[in-house]
Amino acid sequence: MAVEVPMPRLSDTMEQGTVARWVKQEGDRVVAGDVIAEIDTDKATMELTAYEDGVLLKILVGEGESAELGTPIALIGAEGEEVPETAAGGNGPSQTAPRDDEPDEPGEPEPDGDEPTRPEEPEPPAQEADAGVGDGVRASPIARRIAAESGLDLRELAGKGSGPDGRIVKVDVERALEQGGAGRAASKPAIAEGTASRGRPPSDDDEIVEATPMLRAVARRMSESKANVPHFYLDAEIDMGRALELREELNQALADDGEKISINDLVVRAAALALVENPKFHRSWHDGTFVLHKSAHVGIAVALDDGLIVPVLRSVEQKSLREIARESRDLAERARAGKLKQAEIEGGTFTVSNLGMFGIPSFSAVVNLPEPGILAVGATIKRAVVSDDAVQIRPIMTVTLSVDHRATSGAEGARLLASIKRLLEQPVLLLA
Amino acid sequence: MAKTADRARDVLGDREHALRLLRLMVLVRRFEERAEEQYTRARIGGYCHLAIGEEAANVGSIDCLGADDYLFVSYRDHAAALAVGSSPAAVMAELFGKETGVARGYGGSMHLLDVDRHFLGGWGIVGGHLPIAVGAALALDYQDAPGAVLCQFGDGATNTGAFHEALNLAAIWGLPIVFQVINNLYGMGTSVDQASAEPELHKRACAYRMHGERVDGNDVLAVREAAGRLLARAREESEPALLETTTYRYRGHSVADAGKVYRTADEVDSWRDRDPITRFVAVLQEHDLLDDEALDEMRKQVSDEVGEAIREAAAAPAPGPDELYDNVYGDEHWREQFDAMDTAAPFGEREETRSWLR
Amino acid sequence: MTYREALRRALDEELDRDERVFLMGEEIGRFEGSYKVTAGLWEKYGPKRVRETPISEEGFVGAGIGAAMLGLRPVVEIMTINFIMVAQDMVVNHAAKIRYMFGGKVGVPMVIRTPGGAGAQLTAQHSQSLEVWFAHVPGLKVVAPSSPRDAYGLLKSAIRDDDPVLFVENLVLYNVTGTIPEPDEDFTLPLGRAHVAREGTDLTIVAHSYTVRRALAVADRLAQSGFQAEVVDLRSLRPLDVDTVVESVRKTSRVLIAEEGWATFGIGAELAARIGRACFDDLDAPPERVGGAEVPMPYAKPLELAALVLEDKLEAAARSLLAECGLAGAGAGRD
Repeated sequence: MAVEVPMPRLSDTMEQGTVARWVKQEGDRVVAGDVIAEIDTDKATMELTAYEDGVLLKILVGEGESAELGTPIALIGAEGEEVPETAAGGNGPSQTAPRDDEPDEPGEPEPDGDEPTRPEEPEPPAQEADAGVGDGVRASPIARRIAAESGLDLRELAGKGSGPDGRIVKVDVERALEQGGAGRAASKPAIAEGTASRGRPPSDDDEIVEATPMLRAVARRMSESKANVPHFYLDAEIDMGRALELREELNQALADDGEKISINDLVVRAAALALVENPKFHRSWHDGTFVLHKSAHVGIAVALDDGLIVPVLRSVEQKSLREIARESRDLAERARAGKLKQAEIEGGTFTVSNLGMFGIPSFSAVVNLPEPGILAVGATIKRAVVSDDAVQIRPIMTVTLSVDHRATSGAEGARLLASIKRLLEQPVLLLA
Repeated sequence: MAKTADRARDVLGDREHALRLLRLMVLVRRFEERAEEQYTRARIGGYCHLAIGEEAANVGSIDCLGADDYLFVSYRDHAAALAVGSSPAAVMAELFGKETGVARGYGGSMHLLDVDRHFLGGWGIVGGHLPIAVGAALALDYQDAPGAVLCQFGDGATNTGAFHEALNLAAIWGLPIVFQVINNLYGMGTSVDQASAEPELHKRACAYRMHGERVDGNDVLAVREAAGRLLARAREESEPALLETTTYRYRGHSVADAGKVYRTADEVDSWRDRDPITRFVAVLQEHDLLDDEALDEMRKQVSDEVGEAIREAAAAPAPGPDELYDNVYGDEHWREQFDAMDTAAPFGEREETRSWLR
Repeated sequence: MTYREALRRALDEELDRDERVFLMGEEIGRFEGSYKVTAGLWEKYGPKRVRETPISEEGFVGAGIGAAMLGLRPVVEIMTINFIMVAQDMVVNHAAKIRYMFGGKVGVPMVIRTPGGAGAQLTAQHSQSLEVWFAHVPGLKVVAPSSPRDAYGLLKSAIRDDDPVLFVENLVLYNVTGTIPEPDEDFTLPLGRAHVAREGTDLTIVAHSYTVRRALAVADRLAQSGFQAEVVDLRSLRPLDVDTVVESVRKTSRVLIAEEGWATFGIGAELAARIGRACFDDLDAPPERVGGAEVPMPYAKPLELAALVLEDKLEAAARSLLAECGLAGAGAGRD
């Protein structure tokens, strides 16, 4: 069988070569060691010697032509041997062979194939620091971590940290948490003396427990809000009949997917749509300036085993009910597990607090600074109401909007509430 | 010369030994030719330095080594590996980068070795192994062990600082080592005359008051005689020596060098007339130790042996990426020492960045 | 007992324990060693085991490698680390590579002992701390003890180790005193383990060799301002005990890495990268590093003092780091 002469590798960096000149021609006798061609490599012109005896049966790559390493450039065989007309490396069954002492090498990996499969690109790590920076809050990683764990909103310290350029550092956060319990540093002796707080000194019936950083933060924020925010309150009674029907219909359709929409999900979406419809409400007061919010980032108050935290759903006006439902569930779970990221408890523009599951008909909540308002949602209860001059039994949900009177006025609050009521009483609008 | 013939008589008087020596040279020649071919087929990568034409200079001296002796050579080391008795398949496998190679595929052409046969490499830095060979001789001396060290290197190495320091140390400490400079007249593309202020390299020994001599490196019996004598002296008297064996390589410095830019075709051809194998065949035929038929049979056997070595090497597996970190360290406690360097991986990388290998 | 005496004790005990151990170096015999570390050993063990060499670092380091390949355990002394460069090829291209490139078939159980450091107006070519170059190389191990006890324990371990170990001493440390355990305890320290030399909560200072002593002095100064610094003595550069450093940084959230050599491409650079990966969310400020001035060491005394990592410089760096973290009363602001 004729033997192929491959384009040889004549330098360690050579990848292809050009036949400069065929020294032997088709039909010439060849002895091992004879120079049969001159090859131009990337470095020099080198001689190609034959490694076997025979006749040069066919030239496959002509003078001036190039070929990749390993491509057959000629065939050497016995005198008079038939040679196939197919081009070198053609598709027909091979009638030539590499030297017979070079079988396929099972042990050698193919140079081209066998690339190790690369795993999917891992998601870029959550930009924890950056998300916060989006609000302009620069803080050291450990300051962020402690703040997230304690439910402290770094925005309050923004730019006022002790680090370079106002970076918030660990001592700032620790101090802020300490001050949440200011006065409690002396709490034990104060209680004992009965001077710091109202009420009697502790007796054998009482137990003293240190508040966690989170609870201290909550206490501090509530005090601050009540002390500084001029609250006013607006109620609305919402007929939830059609909303409940829509919800029922949605949940049946979603049953196979295992998803469920809750009443609170409807309220959150209604609030978001209402907020973007009412820009004169949807703004925060910052010491003489209004910060106008273009997008509704709605916080949902989540009760913890001992405490309260408000994770934020972002850009809710752009989210569907399903997305709201999914995200709320996820945030609530993680909130209870203590696994929220700092970015997830910052940046809200409104809060919804729902105590309906406890059967509370109505209540008023404390504004979650620096937001303009907070919606307290009560239970949906069947009531007798007058409609079309007749008494009917309707499912009524009472909501109370607490508003920061510095950020906006009573009329704006009323308009917001009216929007929310309209959306929930014509709930198909929630799907628009 | 008469003297050479006398001293060489032990080989010529021993047919089996003589033929074994010839066969070894034929094996080296064939192995190197096939290695060159395998390189052009990209089965051997990196550098590949061939000893075609230098067979006598390489193996003649190695033939004098005993079980107590040690051998160090340069990167032009295929001949040495075959001469000490490593299997051609294992040597070819190392050139192919396979697990069955003499260095398990981790060293390649320049880093062959055979510890059991006292062949300690195969070294890639010109002149770099000379101080190390001196250290081996030092160890023999320290332990009052019998044996000597043969250290082969090229003419290029004689101009390095390491050459000077090694010979100086061997001389002041009286160590059992023979330094053999295989002078093939060119260090890469630079001739000895251009590179060396004293081109008669054996004369440099006098700077260390060391014995130096030169023999025709293409006369295997002359090489054997001189090396045998100097190694015996090293063993018995613990005296070092410098032996210059002049020879020629038909090919370039390595497979990537045609060897033509700096040499004339006439020069190359003139050396073919002094081919070491041809000459030894002639001597053996003169002494009725060999006939054409036996020679042809020998060549065929050798060719088959090398062909088989290539087949075996080609079929063997290459080491896998999971063995990448094997043998960087060997102390029995190395794992404990390094496991604190990074919790994900011992060498500072994220575990994820290594996952692409799996 | 001084650091140099501790080294001598270790050498003596190992020479006695294992007849494969022998010493090589310039002036280590009759001259007793240029820093007197080997004093008395030539008299005790003779010229075969305490072998003096000419000025041929490449030659005798190579000889050590060859002897080690045949199973001996040479301890080669390079008079100062400034002279290791002429043997660089032997250390990096040979000793570090042999086991691996020969497929694990042969190793190099050798120790190279050499002092680095500056401070005695020895000028540019004789004042360097180059150990980080060698810590960069897979196949080598690099240790740098900061006290007599550590020097004693680590040298014994290094000699018994089967891989090439660069044992980095320090000119100033030779005279420092401390206690070492009794010979019958066969005390050794494992390679690759750092040591918390001083505990603290406000910041971590990482150092090796002589700089550890400076760091401890600075920690005392900081304590007077009410700051408790934790000092981590690396002891070993390759392998590097990242776990101990990381544990400390997680505790204090602030870290300063100090080295006598140049900080650029130095130990601090390596640790800052590893700390960044392991402690990203624990840091109150980026890792800080301080090293010698990036100049060849000058001769004139005021210039040399300006170039060294003196306690004042180290203290300023520490205080600046504390200030960056809002710790008032820390003192010096950033420049």
